[in-house]
Amino acid sequence: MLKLSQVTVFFLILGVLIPLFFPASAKAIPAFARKYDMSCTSCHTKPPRLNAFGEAFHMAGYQIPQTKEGELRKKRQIGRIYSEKELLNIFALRATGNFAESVSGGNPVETNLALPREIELYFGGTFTDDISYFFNFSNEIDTIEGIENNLFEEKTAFGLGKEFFLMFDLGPAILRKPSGNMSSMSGPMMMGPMIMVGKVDPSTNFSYSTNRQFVINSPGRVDKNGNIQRFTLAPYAFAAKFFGLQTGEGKSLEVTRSVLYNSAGDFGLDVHAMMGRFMFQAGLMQGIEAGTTDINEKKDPYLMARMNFGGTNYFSGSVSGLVNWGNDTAMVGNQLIDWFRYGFAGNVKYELLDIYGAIIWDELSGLPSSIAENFDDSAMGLTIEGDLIITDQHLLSLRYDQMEAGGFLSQKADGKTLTLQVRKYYRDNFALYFRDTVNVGTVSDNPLQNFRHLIAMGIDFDF
Amino acid sequence: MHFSNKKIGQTGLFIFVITLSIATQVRSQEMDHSTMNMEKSEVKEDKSVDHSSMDMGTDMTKEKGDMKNMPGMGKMNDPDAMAVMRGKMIFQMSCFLCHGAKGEGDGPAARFIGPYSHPRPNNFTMGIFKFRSTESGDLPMLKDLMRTIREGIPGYMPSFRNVGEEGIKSVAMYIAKEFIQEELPTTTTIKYAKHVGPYTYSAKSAWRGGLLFKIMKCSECHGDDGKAGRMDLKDERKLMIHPIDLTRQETFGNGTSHEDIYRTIMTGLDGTPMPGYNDSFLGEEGSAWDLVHYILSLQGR
Repeated sequence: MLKLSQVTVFFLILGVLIPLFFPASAKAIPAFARKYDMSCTSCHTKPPRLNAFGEAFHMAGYQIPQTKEGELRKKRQIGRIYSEKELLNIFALRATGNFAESVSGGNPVETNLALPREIELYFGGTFTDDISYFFNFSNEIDTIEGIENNLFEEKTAFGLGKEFFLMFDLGPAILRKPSGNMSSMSGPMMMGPMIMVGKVDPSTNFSYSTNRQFVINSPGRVDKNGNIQRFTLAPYAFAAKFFGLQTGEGKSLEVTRSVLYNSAGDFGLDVHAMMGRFMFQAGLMQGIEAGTTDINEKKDPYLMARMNFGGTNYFSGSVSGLVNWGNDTAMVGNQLIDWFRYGFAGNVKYELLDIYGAIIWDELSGLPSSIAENFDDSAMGLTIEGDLIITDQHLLSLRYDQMEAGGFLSQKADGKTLTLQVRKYYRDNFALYFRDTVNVGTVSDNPLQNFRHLIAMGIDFDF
Repeated sequence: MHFSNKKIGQTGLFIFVITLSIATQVRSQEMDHSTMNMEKSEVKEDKSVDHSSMDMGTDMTKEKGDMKNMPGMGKMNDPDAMAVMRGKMIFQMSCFLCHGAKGEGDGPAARFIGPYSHPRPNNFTMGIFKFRSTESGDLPMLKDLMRTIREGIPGYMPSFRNVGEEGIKSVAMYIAKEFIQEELPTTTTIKYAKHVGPYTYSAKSAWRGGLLFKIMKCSECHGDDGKAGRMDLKDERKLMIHPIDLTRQETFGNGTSHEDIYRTIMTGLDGTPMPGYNDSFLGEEGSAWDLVHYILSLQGR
């Protein structure tokens, strides 16, 4: 199968020409970097992964730690409200995804040429010292959406992106001093508590954040009858992992879809605070892909604790633990079930090496008795990735994914993949990548296993 | 909900781990506070000693000297000790992420700023500072450190202006005391001609600056047109560094004002191939303004 359009050709040409016309020494930068006159790598190892400074910036509500809106020169101030003088200081754009794919060793064998899969617009900044915002709109091409009865469709969807929230710093109200402000030398060194309301990705504070991937997901395939041919390639640790599951709203749930605490963004409320080296997080999610209304009226609470370490010798890291209760959050047959998720994540950064991984267990309960015998109610996912910046312009990534899936015994299969990827950065904000994802487990007709190699080329461009 | 004993047990274990970590943290904070309280009481005691010594008409300087000899008291007898302590707390919340907890430029975010090329966060313990108003090779003055903290370094270090002048000074004092560990100079031997009278901008001055640009071989690195090109040089850490493009003021790390550029020419940028030209202008410091005007003209300013 070969898909090629004029628009694709346009993007391919653009991909080749853009690096040639940009001067290599220029600092090209999305909103926050423009606003603070800093390069991307002040906050990122390479975009989108955060380094320790970026994590502190995020934790402080998109502000330089301790400064509280440190670049007032670029803002107007009316009383306590700020507004930007330049729209570019709050606006960013990101285009990501494979533009060429070749799948071999399974069924179907295919080669695709397509647009970069996802284009996202971001608006981020602060309204006041204590209120910040992050609004994300996205256009996703050929994303897989569940219908019902284990059927799916490929859709192009524009709308709210992964995250869309307001963040409030409750520090001044609770502690009677701004977060991280050391004007008083008494009391613990605290950041927050920060409360996020809207469409949030709670895992942004986990040691392995769902949204900050160098190995961008490769979209799955659905045939014209709505049967899935190949699941989306995504980190297995965060995935749903159960075959034959539906959301609480009755839509088919893709096995590799990131869900619950590790969703790329669902509606909910999140509270997190940092005390010294420790971070504590608690929150409530509406339900898996539940939107703003939850027909089940039950929420999915979670708790997360994280400990940071390091601080010298170019060394830092963290470990995190998570528990997440999904109440009536999914369906098997027509019965709502409970979903219990728990797991750990770790991250170590040393010099230019960044290793991070997560292991997540899932258990379902409340299964209909007629189904229980034919249904595996527990699953496990493991994802470990290592990234090494080998030159100023090259990033090497190696990721291992393993899924011991659950679900209907007649459908389920386990997955093991190993991905090797090279990214070439023409600028800090413009990279092309080449990767090979190898199915190192069984190759079969199962949609989780029906490939040996998935070779992809793609783009990651931020402005 | 229908959760099994196994799940309840796992949740219990998780909550136990969280509780333990909170307890550890609280204990650690309590220890910090007790240390802090002890130090505060020492300050209080110090004031009472000063007061009584005045009452008795004794030599206050001598009394303070005696206090310094008492175990643990010398530090707190320093009137700036509390400021240094505040500087330490600010440093440990923000600055250490790049400069490292020991000020050696090896913080957890440091390597990503310049993976294989200049710049890297400064290692304060080496005593090499790019941004000074002092002679090349000398330590900076406190106001130099404060200026860098206040203004930041475009492209690499944010401005910490909103920490406030008092906070900025306390961080600078902490860096000087804890990492540089030498007394900072309070004056400079470099003579700075004021940007007034004959030294203000004129087209003729900029023209003279253009001649100086060639005579002093600035163009060898920065190019005839000031655009630098891609000449590969090395900094003191053997990292790749390129001369800056003088036509683009956003690349000026030491500031973009007239005075900033003048100061950079006179002092150079220690740790980089950019030398100080103070000696070249000795006795004719006003002529350096011609060069400043030429550089500004390259930017259309």
